[in-house]
Amino acid sequence: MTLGRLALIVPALAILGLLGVAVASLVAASVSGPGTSWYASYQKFLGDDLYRAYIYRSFRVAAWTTAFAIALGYAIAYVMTRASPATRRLIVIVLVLQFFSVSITRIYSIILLLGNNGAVNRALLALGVIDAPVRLLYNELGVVIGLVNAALPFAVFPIYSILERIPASLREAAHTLGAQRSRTFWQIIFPLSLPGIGASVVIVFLYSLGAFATPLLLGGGFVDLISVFTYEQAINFSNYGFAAAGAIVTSLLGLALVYAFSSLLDRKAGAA
Amino acid sequence: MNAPVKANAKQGAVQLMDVMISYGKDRVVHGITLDVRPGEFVCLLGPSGCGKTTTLRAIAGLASVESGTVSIDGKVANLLPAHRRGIGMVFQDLALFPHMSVYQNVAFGLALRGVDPATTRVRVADMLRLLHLAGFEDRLPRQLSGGQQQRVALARSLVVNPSVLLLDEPFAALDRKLREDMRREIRALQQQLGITAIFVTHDQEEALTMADRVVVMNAGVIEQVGTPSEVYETPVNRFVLSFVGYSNFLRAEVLRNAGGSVRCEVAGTTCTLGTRTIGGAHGGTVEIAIRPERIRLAAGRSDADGVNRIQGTVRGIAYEGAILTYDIVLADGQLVLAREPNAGDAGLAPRHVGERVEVAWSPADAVLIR
Repeated sequence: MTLGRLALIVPALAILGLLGVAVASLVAASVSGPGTSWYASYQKFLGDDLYRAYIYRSFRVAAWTTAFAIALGYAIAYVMTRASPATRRLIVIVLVLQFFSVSITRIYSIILLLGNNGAVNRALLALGVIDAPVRLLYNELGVVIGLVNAALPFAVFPIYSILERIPASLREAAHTLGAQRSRTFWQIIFPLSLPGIGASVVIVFLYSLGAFATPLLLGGGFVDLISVFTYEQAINFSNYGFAAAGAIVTSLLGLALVYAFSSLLDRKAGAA
Repeated sequence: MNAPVKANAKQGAVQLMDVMISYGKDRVVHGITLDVRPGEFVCLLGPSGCGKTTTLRAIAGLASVESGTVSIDGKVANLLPAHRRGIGMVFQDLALFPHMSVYQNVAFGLALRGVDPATTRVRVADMLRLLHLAGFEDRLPRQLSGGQQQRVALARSLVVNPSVLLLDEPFAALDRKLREDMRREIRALQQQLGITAIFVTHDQEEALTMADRVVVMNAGVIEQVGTPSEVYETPVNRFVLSFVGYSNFLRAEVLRNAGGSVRCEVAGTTCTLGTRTIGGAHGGTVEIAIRPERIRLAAGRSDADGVNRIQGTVRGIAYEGAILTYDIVLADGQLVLAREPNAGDAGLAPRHVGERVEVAWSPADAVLIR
């Protein structure tokens, strides 16, 4: 390898190094907090129902977000593969715009939409679907709606890139062999799109597990997720060790879940 | 494997009446009428963009017909969706389901027809044996060779006993040797099963060797329908003449046009032509077409009377093993291609570039074009 080529990997090494130092200092903080033993912070976090509840809640919110975002994202991706180029471009523009819009702006627009006096409630009242405003904000539902909105591009694009690569001739072959649309979808298109779904699930799940601004603002202090806990412990109470222990436990659980999920998916893809 | 039971005399018949097909604003098929008889092997032959694949897709129900009718088994099928037409189709990219085994691919159509599992196993096994695929049931398509994938695609479309088999350039991805084997195999299989086959290709050799009848298409219309020898020996127009096989086109001046023969001048030499004409030519400047294999290089040899001879010089020689193709320039600069078998010792001494030769052909082998 020439010196010039070697120079090209320096930035990558620098970023990796920085990340390594950050993780190392997080781990160091978690094992050097106040207490009698090195695992005191972990003991305190895991030993208390109150703190464990943060983890349950975070995983529950992330799971719901993932389910809704994937279902909605799959539908959008599927429509994109069947739509005219103009419609497809429009969908991509809308997704990219909302992806790059400032997150605070996006969250406040959701508050305007979902509030007791917001457009959604007024529309439901006017249609006679409900008699009194439904509470869509400052609860888990509101947080999930906000996260689905934020995570949608992550759900759509991996699925779309896989769906788009499935040759049209496979669908046509299924038709000529006697399969109708729904049969063709469930037996041919869906199984072949599983790798895209897998990628989307991992990205959306980890994204929602770590999201901070959306649960903070749409939860309004009533939905305590691990990210909010970590922030409060570290910034408000300067309990860096305790915050780090919570963050590390969550990360490890998240990684374990993602690992189990992707090996399950690999086995399914390998068996098919 | 039993041949499919013929429900009626029209089973396997395909009729196209004035079929027009458009993609958006572009009309790609301009009114095609074609009658394919049960059990017949028909090739749609033409250059890319001539509408042959679109026509096939209209028969399959994958392209919608703008006007005219498509009939299958004697019944109008215009509004029948693809899954109810009872056709089998082999796609250009084969379209094997990549996540399914060979067995699952072949059984796919049977499951949709409500065939019970025991019968399915028997029919799939029969079909796989017929196509020399026994033992490959559990393989995935990507674990097979190109030829084997081809056979799986065929087995999958044939196992449901379709009345018509449609093939869209299925050999595009195969190498030459394999392609020739598959041609013979598909032809034999089609005759054994007594199934109607419509085959799309741009390869004239493929069409001539496989088809009962060849449909030559160009720019969305049918130019000629005929047996392979009809379209090759008696093309009805210049397009068919030039697309099916190679032809030399030579500029000529008509000197005299009387009765059964025409006298004309080619490259300063007076020649006699037979009665074969395209486009009703009478006098003045015309073109004459001669197939390269109908030209003999006579080099001073005395042939039977009535053979035309024009002086020329060998400019290039293409050595193709069994055949030698000579590139000959005439006195007025026109080029002629001549093909001769590589006869070895039985033939004449090999010619060389720069050698003066006589380009000789019989009047019956030239076609006069307006």
